[in-house]
Order: sequence, then structure tokens, then C-alpha cells
Amino acid sequence: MPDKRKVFVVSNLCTGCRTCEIACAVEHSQSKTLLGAISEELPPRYRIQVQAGDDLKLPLNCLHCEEPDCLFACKSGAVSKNPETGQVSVDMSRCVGCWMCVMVCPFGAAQPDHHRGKVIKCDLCEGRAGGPACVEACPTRALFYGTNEEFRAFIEEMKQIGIIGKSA
Amino acid sequence: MNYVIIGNSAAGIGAAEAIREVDAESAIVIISDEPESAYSRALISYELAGWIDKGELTFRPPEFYTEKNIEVQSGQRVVKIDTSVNEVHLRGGDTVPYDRLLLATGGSPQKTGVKGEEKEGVFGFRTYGDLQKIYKSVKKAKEGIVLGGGCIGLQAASGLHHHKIKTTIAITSPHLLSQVADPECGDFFQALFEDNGIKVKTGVKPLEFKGGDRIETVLFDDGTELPTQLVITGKGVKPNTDLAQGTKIEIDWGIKTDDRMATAEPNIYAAGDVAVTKDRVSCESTVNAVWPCAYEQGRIAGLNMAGKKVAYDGSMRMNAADFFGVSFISIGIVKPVDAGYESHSYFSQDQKIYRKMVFKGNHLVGAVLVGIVDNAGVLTNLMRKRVDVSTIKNDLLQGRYDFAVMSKLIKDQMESFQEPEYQEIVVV
Repeated sequence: MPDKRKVFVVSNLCTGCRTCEIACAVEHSQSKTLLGAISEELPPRYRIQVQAGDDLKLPLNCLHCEEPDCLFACKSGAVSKNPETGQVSVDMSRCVGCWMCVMVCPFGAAQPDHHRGKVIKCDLCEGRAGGPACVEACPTRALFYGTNEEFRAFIEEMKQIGIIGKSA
Repeated sequence: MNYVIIGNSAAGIGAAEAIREVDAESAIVIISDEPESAYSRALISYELAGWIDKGELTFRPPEFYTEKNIEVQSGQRVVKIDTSVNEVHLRGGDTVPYDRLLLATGGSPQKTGVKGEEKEGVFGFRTYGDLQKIYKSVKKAKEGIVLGGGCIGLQAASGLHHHKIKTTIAITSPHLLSQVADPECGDFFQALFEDNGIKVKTGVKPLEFKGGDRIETVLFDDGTELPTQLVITGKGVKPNTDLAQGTKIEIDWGIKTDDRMATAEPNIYAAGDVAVTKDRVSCESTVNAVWPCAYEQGRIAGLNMAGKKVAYDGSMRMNAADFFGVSFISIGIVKPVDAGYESHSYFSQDQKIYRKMVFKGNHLVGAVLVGIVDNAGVLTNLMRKRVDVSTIKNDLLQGRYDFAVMSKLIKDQMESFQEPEYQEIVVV
């Protein structure tokens, strides 16, 4: 069974605390500690972004789309989609910072990193033992890492124990 | 089934990859008149500017063709399509039979029509071949002139500048980027280029390229004559439609296609810079010669060639670039032609930020972003889906256009947001 896990969002569990952003940045630093990260010459950037609407808080991340516009638009061949896992990845050695993906990502999940001249986006913390750092760090379980089925089951469970509304 | 694809760039590769998603077995032949393996035309300016290493222009790995079981005939020119027997004729006399044929023949730089254009040292700037010729001239050149103030022209100028050439951009219009941005945005970039040591000469037409065999000066219509050893012309691109001659394929500047990228000739499709498609924002038939559209059109053509029925929702005018560290993205209709449009712009010289939004009725139809280009794709998506943005218009004008803002529209206009990804963000 291919591993089609990704990061899902339950927006109304998000309090906007931005712990995920910190965890993401630290995970993508050289030192992997917050103290180390802030003193790095090129401080790391987070890939997940907590966005706020009127009555909405949304920790938005790459959704590893079925039909990834970023992949179709990439003129350096840096973006690829793993047919097994569905993961959309950027080969940083090939990215030239042309911002084509930034121009077409419908979610704004591909962001320009002007300091490095390259795009940044979620890499699902590939190779990290505990899975994506943002999910592990979220104190309110607004982020979920798993398959679509696992996510639906998680939502049901959250409803049953009354953490999220029964109406949805 | 025999698939034949003429053209080995974005549209051609997009088609080949799409065909292989559907049909793992049938023969795919890509024919290209360029000797190189698939490379990214759109990156030659990046190489000239030293942003990427020489020879790093490939956008698929070397093993791509063998892995996908695609035969490539490089350096071969198709001279004729014989639709009576479904064959293409190569220059050397060989023929290649097809069941489905894709014309992804791209475009060629338009001639300037200026006297002396054939002199050595006057170049178009489109292919790897052009780039190699420019490299040879770069070594001997002290001064260079770029004719054209669009994205390619500006990138070419940055490239010459990188090679320590004293560079002048000369344009007929009064402002840089005049096709894609407002005068004040153009003037901002002019100041940026001048600050970086590139001269900009506006409102002039070249009258003659002078010299012997080699270019020595360019004479302009204001009487000035600038010495130069290298000229790059950026007058835009003309679709390569020659092969359509003698077929039922309809030409209107480019090759006319339907919503499946099919031409009027059975079993022949067209995609990329050669293809006329419907612009999904302006609803006009046009050639949108940009990489993302080319790949997507190739993909749609490929899927349909392989028997899937997939409709193309139309192309979009869009471009992205980065000049001296200042990012630039332009999408949709940015120069409204009549009073039916409403434009708003915001400009901060200090912060190097410029932003323009163009509306028609309740729809966002165009945007220009300079400096901060984050979330540009959200705007592209709003235009592409043609959704009513009236409830978030104020947000847009304030520069707030992230996904959270767009999500306000999703509930009310659910029918426009059917992709699975929208269901994965659960707003309970």
C-alpha cells in the first residue's frame, strides 16, 4: 500500500498560536534548535503559514495537489510528484527562483525566499522520524498527518468526543 | 497507435508525459530541429545572467526518454505533413507515420525589419543556439544594446551586464514593460536598471544597424548613433505555422485549436507557443506564449490524443521574473482597453513595492505585483475560476489575498472549487 500521507488541517481547532511555524522553521534550520536557528547567518524560514480571516484561522501548507499547477509551470524541472506517495517535491539544486510556481499555486503554498533566491514549500519533513514537525508541535491537534481515510476517521473521533461540532 | 510530436520543449514534453499516463505501450516519437536534448528555453536568460551553471538548462533528467520509452529524433526538421497518408516528411527525405500528431513547433523571434539586421553581432534571444552565438560575441564586446523592454529584453540586458558589457536598453515605447505594467511601474524599473548601471533609452526607434560584416553602431530616429558590438532584439515571437500550409489546419496568427487542443485537421493537435487558444480572462482567442500555458496545453493535447476526453479551460496571460532582486509578476489584463474596467494601484518607492489590480464588474481580471509576489497564485486562481470577488474586494485592494481570504468565497461559490484539495481543509 503506497504511503499517501499528508498534512491535513482542521481549521477551527487552530488558535493561531503559530507554534507550527516555529517548529517548521526550527526543523529546517542547520542546528535544529530555536536558539541555534535565530543566530544562523541565513535564518530558516517556515513553510507552513497561519493565515487569519474574519473568524477563521488557517495553518496553510502545501496540499500536494492531485494535479499540481506548480509542477506544470516549473520551467527548470525542479518540481516533481512522486507517483507512489503523491508527494510534490522541489529539487532545490534545480530551482532557479523564476517564481512560476509562486504565480500559479492556488493556495499560496509555494513562497519566494528572496534570501536564497529559491522557492520554499512543505517537504513533509522528509526523513524525520516523528513525521512533520508542525503536526507534532501543534498543541490543539489542528494539524493531522495521515491518509485521507485516517483523517476522516480522526474527524469522526473528534466529533464523538465533542471537540468539534457535530454538524459538519 | 503511433504518436508523433513535433517539438521538444514544454508543450511537447507535457504531451508525451500525459500520453504515457494513459498509454504505456504505444510508440511516441518526438522530432525536434534542435540538436540538444529537452532544455528550458525560458532559462537561457538565467544562464546568460550567471544565475545557473552553463549546461544546466535541462528540465528533465537525461534518462527521461528511455524511462518513458520515448524515441527522440533531434536535429531533424519536419518539412511537410502529408495528411492523405498520415505521414510527416523529414528534410533528409525520411517519413514518419502517425496516428496522432502534435504540432508543438513553438515560435521564432520576429524580425525587426531594420536595415542591416543580418550583420554579425545582431541576435534574437530564444534558443540554446542563440545563446551560444551570444557567448562568442560577449567575449569581444564592450558595449551592447538590447532592443526591447519586456521581460525577455530586461533579462537579456541583465545578462549582458553580468558579462561586464556596457549595456543600453533602447525601446520605442515611453516606459519599460509597457505591455504589462503602468508607466509608474515601468519608471520604477527604469530607475532600478539605471542604478545598477544599465542605460535606458526610451521613445526611440532603430533606423539602421551600421558597420561592415559586423555591427558597429545603431542609428536611432532621434539622430543618435550608439557604438555597439552586440545587439539583442526582443521584438516578440511569431508562431511557427509553416507546416500547416497545404492542410485544413486553420491559421489566425497561430494555429487555431478547439478546447481539446485539436486543429481542424483530423488527428492533428497543436499546443504551446504555436497554438491559438481561448484566453480564460479576456475570452479572446490568442497565443499566450508562456511556459505554464505551453506545458498545460501539451498535457491536455496528450490526454486527448490518448483517448481521454479532457477540455482545456483556456490559457492566461502571465509572466514572472526577477530583476536585480526585485520580483515581478503580471497576470491577466493589466492594461485595460476601455472604460469597462476598474484599476487600482499602490506604489511605495521606498519599499520597492508596486501592486495593481484590475477588475471588471465583480471579477478580478488582472494583477501586477512588484517586490512582494507572495500568494500571487491565489490571484491567478481567482481569475482562472472567474469567481465573484465582490465580498473580498477590499481585502484585495489592501494587499490581503492569502488562502484564508479566498476561503470566504468557497462556501458561497462551491461549484467553482471542486478540486479534492479544497475538501482537505476542513472548516468545521
